[in-house]
Amino acid sequence: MDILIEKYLFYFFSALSVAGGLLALTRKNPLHGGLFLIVSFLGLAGLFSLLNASLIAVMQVLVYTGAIMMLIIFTLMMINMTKEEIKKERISKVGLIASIFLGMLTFKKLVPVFFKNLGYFEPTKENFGSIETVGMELFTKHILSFELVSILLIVALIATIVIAKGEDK
Amino acid sequence: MSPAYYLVVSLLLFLIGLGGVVSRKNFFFILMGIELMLSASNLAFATFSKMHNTESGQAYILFIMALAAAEACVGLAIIYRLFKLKSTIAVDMFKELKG
Repeated sequence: MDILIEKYLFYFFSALSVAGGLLALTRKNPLHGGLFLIVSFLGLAGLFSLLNASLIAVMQVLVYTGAIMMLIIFTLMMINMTKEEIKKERISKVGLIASIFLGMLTFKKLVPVFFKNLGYFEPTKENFGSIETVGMELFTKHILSFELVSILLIVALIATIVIAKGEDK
Repeated sequence: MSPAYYLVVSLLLFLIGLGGVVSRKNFFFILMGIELMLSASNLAFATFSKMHNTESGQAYILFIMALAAAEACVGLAIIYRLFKLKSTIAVDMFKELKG
């Protein structure tokens, strides 16, 4: 891919994801926050495709924006918050100051390390990140983790039903 | 593009998510912050996967996505029950266990 185009695409997608995330977590209304978070996840999908991870980019759109955010917005509409409650929304000042301080500190310490130690991407091998090669990796090297994830999903499914149903009266 | 740029974006997203989790008092924003932090770690995994020219990182991303989905649905079920209990989802309304 042309280097210049890749650069502009990188700046576009990273601005999209960072601005979306920042806007999502500063809104008062959780519904607006969820919609901005979808924008952020779409930007992240673009970044994944720039990193030659095409399967991951598709899964990002399907799983995060399609399933998880849909579930969050669905629950949000189900519990039906009142307008007064949204207006009453407060943020914890101590937490905000602490996280800004911690964030600046981490940023200042880590970013020079990144730029000093990491060089450039080497040319990737042929069909890197395609569904075939990732599938081979998943079903040979990580087969045990793969099976454990399926157990985790079953446990989460049962737990969700039990918790949401509540106790019998 | 150097891998460092991707890691800086990942770090920024992670810190935004962390700030949201720490400072917001609404359960939904806390959950969204956790999702954002998980995606930021996914971006770092993808960057290192391309840097080392191996797909192991991408297999881990798929596991993290499954984990995020599981976490989101259990978290939302808990939010639903809490709302049925007290008709609010502000975290500082649930202080009974505070010593």
